Amino acid sequence: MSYGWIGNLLRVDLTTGDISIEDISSYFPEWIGGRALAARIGYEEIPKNIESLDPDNRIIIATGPLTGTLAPTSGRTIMSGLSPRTYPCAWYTHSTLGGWFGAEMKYAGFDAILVTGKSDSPVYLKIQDDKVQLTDAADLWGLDARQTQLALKDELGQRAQILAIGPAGENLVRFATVQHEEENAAGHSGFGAVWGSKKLKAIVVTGTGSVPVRHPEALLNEVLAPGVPRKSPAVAVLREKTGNPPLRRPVCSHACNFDCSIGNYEQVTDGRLIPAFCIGGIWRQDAFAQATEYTGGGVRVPPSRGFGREQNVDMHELCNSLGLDLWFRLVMQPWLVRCRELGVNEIRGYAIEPENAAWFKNFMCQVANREELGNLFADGLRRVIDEVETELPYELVQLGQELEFNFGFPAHREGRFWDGEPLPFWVISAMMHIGENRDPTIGTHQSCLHMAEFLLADQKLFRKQFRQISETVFGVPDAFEPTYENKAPIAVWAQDQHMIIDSLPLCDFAFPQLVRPMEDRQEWESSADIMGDLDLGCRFLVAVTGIEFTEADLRRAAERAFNIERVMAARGGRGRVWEEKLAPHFELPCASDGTLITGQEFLRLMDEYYTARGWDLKDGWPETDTLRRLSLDVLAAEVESMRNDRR
Amino acid sequence: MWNGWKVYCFARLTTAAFGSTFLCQSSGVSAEGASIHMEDTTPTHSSIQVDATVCRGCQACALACSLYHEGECGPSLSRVAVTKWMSSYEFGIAICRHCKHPACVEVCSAGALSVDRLGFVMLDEDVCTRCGSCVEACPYDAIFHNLDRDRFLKCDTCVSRAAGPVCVEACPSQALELPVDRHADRGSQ
Repeated sequence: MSYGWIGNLLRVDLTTGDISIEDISSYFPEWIGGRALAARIGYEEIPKNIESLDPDNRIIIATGPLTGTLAPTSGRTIMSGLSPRTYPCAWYTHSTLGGWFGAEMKYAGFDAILVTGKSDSPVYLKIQDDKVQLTDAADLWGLDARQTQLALKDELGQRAQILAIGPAGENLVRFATVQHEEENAAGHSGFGAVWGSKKLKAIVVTGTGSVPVRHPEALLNEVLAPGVPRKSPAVAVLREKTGNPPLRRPVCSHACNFDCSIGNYEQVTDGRLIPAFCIGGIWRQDAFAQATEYTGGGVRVPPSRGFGREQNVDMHELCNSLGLDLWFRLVMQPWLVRCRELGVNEIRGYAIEPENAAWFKNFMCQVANREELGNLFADGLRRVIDEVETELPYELVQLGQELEFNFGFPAHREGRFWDGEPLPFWVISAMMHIGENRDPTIGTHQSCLHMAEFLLADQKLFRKQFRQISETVFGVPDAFEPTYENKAPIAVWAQDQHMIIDSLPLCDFAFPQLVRPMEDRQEWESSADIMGDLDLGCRFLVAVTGIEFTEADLRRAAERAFNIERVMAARGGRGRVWEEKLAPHFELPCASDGTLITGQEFLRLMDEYYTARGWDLKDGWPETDTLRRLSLDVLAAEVESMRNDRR
Repeated sequence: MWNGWKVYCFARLTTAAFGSTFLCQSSGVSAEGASIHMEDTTPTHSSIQVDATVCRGCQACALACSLYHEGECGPSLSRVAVTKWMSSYEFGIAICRHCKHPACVEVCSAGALSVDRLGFVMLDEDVCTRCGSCVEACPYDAIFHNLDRDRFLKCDTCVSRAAGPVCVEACPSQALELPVDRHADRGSQ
């Protein structure tokens, strides 16, 4: 009997209609699952030199060994393929989403789903255990993501788990999501457009199987351990002790019994309760949206206009139903507001009124349907700037470039716009931006970037506590000191942790537990030692699979997968030349402490990061020795070939 | 496999009757129109109490249940079922209420279902003839048929577990709770 893994991949060719089940048990335990497994599959499957909307692009959906088990927060699912969002061209990226789909996939008997080809007409994929069929979706095409799911649940039952696209995906919007329930989406990488290009409206899964656990009692003991707070560690501790009963919070994922500090219930105007998480929470509160304000280095980002809680919540739901990545608002709205501030009241003949709720709601619909002004913005702000560069004042061009400085992804936790991570966190973030295929920060909340909140709250206490943590984790006391030097090991460690939690999988708001969960600010301030339990995820894995993984095993597996992702990004053009273009963003002063680096100093960060990764300084690609050390000799040959082509 | 347990449950769980039954929460009030007798199906004072209004749908109860009883995780092996209605963002929890006068026991001609000395309805799988009568009789849709393994599953309140029902312990939102006197009962065992 296999524990944790099923050993099956479901392959679906939309062009031919062929469906097959393949044995991938040889991939385990080596490739763990989730993101690492997806990278392994993607490397073999995705042809070189194709665009994201090419029928030969793949949709890879992967689960991990913890998926479907009681391991808390293990209900994450990974989606990957060539992304339509990446700028200036497509390369391999991933998204992760919460919810219940991955677990149901496992119960149906699949660790991964691979979709290739393109259908002539809209279809959805219906998976009922080993009975799999492509079904006509003509009646669903044109429905929004919520309506689509409700229609399929009416037909197949409430427990059917569904991934679906809305009009944004159908109309190939580059930041279109694949939606699951109302509160989960594969959002950032624009995979909704890949689904739309393949005429794949939805995947519906129901499974009657289960996931065998090698050491059930050990898993139960870990999960039910008395006295261990079940909550996401950081941020929550910055809340003041109130004496009030704890707020009831929703969960976004299968098996999550944590008190999630970022989840809240909201009520839409028809009276229904809906959950909101992370970016959804930002949408609902005017104060959060307005925190986009930034001035420095000749760049001004105005505050986003809030529309009042009721409107915000309704528009948040509309955004999900349309299948648009919620993050678009945090860059497009302030940019459009700045247009107005500079006297630009229309673009291409279309009036812009970003502070008007009715206009903004209509704008969202236009983007999703690629109508009028929305057709321009459906390609993302970075590409809008290229399109209208000569029609706008330079300040707006620069602002647009900086708001999506990260290869077409919205600026996020890079110390300038919105989050304002102080030194050393923005330096670590900059290094992660250099080496990652997408927005690197979302997956490194608990391993690194959320720790900035402690520093912002009390610098003296932070330095005292994090010197201890630094010593324990990195063997030196000054890893988190506010300096520019020697931050690459933290960036690499945080990225590897990100890969591990995406592969097991676990939630990045709860793992890895670099700091321990605490009740409130008072508990934090009165604690001498806040070191977390970094081995918890590994112990879940050992309990489920029975394989005696160590943290070192997981780090090696993560490093291997990360290098595969790097080589696939290199196929799309990523490397030193493009990554040097990130430098101007970090010449802007940090929002919270005013620190910055020159372009020359940024090049030094690149060298430090590439060296720590074992990548060459010329191209930023894995050295042959690095790949051989990781037993990735096949990749070594390909990278050498790419180097020769460049010469 | 599709014609298994889930098909059966989907058929039941998606009906209006299910909604009215399980959204009635802990009162034990039965579904409007359901053909059951109020007095017969009142939950025992010490059975696991259900408040689906605070359920968050994480499935930790079902996963802990199947893990504890079967060494596997999956709703098809659980003695408790959680359903979410996406259209209304509401949840339903199906779990045996250990009725004072259980209809399932009455219809079980094999004698596989019985009431123990603490008032809990227990299933002896070795005696069960798999006729399915109990599933039909249960007003709470809380006896589950796993077709793949041809097994009938129902809550036994984790009677052999010293710490009490594992689902209660796993539930993060107190949607499932055990009355204090139930702990006292256990202490006397």
